[in-house]
Amino acid sequence: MSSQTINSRPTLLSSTVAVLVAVTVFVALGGGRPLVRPWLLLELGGLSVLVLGITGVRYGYRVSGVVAAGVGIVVCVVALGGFALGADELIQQVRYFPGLVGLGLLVGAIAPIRGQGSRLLVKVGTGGLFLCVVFTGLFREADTTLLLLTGAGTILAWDGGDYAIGVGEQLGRQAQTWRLELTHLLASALVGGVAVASVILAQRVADTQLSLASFVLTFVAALLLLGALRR
Amino acid sequence: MVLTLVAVGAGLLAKRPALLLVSALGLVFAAYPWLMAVPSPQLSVDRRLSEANPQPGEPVDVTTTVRNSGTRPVFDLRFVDGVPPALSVVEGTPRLGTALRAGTSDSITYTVEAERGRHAFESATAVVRDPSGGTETETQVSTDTEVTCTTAVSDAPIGSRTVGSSGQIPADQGGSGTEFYQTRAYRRGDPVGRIDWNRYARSGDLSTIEFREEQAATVVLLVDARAESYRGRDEQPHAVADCVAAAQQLLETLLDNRNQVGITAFGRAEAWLPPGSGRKHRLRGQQLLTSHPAFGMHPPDPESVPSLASQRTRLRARLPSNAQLLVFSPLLDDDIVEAIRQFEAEGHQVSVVSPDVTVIDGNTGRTLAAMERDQRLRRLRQTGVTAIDWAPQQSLSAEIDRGHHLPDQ
Repeated sequence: MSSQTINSRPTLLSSTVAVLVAVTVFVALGGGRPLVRPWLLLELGGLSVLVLGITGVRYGYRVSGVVAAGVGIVVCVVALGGFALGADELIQQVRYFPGLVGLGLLVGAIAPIRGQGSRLLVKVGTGGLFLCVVFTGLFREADTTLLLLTGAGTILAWDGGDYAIGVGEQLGRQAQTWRLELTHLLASALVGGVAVASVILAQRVADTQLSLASFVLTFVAALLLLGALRR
Repeated sequence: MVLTLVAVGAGLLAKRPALLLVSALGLVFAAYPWLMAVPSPQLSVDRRLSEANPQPGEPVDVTTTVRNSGTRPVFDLRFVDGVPPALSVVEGTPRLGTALRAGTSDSITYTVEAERGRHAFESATAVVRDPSGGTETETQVSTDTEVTCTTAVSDAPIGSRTVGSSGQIPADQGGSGTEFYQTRAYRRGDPVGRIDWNRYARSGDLSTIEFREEQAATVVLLVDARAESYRGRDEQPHAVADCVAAAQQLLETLLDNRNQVGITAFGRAEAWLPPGSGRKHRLRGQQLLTSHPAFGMHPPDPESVPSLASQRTRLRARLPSNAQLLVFSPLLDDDIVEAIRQFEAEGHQVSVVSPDVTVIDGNTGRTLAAMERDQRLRRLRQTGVTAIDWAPQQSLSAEIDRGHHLPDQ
């Protein structure tokens, strides 16, 4: 009697979407500019080799897979170190470094380097990307619409990674899940789109007549409303 | 929510309204699950088998279709089919993740490898979540499907003790059967057709031919499903699964031969089907062997199982005095042998079908266990018990026909 073992790693569709959205967010925040681009490309190359290595190990190419994964990790570390030490614009380094680290962690969490994936690493990785969004806002490097879109994109990347792990745990990677995943991702994207549109609309309506203090009060009121809804 | 607060904090400290607006996104995503209704799915399942009566080891394709019979869409359905525990999936997966509009369906196809026995599919598990994943509902969906992998056994290894009704066991008394038994002096009322006319022509004496009567027996199938019996070779079903499969085959054979058959078990739960016959009784017996908790696929907690002595006492009180016992046990401990010998000593004819799950290899412990089992079989045969040493990979029918059950001389 031969039986199959369940491959409970994160599902491919949601994982791929999560990584693609995360990379898009990073590039949209200026990750494609000459200061960052070489290091981003180097890191993405390293991550690709890492994923190939992990896949090789899963398919039985243990030695070559481990070597490739090791090379991938080293390349990623070189990319991060090179960016941190090589660039001479401190503000840009502070702004992009969490995002670069976040991308690496996100891929490592859902590739996954070990086990069935790590929700904590997905959170930390997308948290790094969100810090990138926050720093971009702090340094006034992007307009409100871009900040909102990249913020929503970061949440979608987190949602995609988390969902990939959840579905992988419950159903396994061999199960046919594309309809399930696509529905969830589209629903999340729709909510993200509605959220961005609503905030932009509210901003346009309020325009400049709404002071920061008024906005804070509105925000606190919304938080309280949310708390009441939760009960 | 943490990220939202980070954005709010940064926005407030640096007086960046844009960051405060970004934090509003977090609020929308946090509110999203609470705006969703709790799903109340209405699902139905249809299951098709490529072969409902396969041979052992034959692959069987299973196609399961799950349908949304409700009026609302199901956005997030995670479905796991209820594959019988004894069957292993060798290709594909019995799991499906899908989204279904009202009235639509989705299917999965996978392959299981048939094992001896009657295997009922369990209820499929469906977990339905709202689109945000905030709330989920778990439900069981069932449809009756069974894989029957039993080869007909022509004979059952039971003794010659019979009851008054007609069956297929040759009785030690003459009557109206088909096999010649003896002749005796004619008595008034004997049927004319049974008078030995040849002898009358020769000698002038009237004599009557008697044939061997074929009568029915009362047999109780006893499955040893104690924790001790849940052992098996690597990659093979455990002995209890083999015992249940053998009991299912012999239940059919004994009932086909018009015997009265009952079923019981030594194990975690009290299983008892009093001896009987007929179509309904056959169905009850099959159902009991397929789904009673006593025959569960996972070993019981030894602490929760009543002692063998108390189970034996309870069975003794129930067992009809003329009943034979047909015991299915891997004989992996001495207690079961002692219990069998006591039944035999109390006047019940006992036969044993013992699936051999022991292995003789370089491992001292395993080799010793195999030798001890051989010793137990010998001891049983020496006390007159019919004991069949059955390799589960082989046909039970062939094993019985080979006459391995004859007591050791």
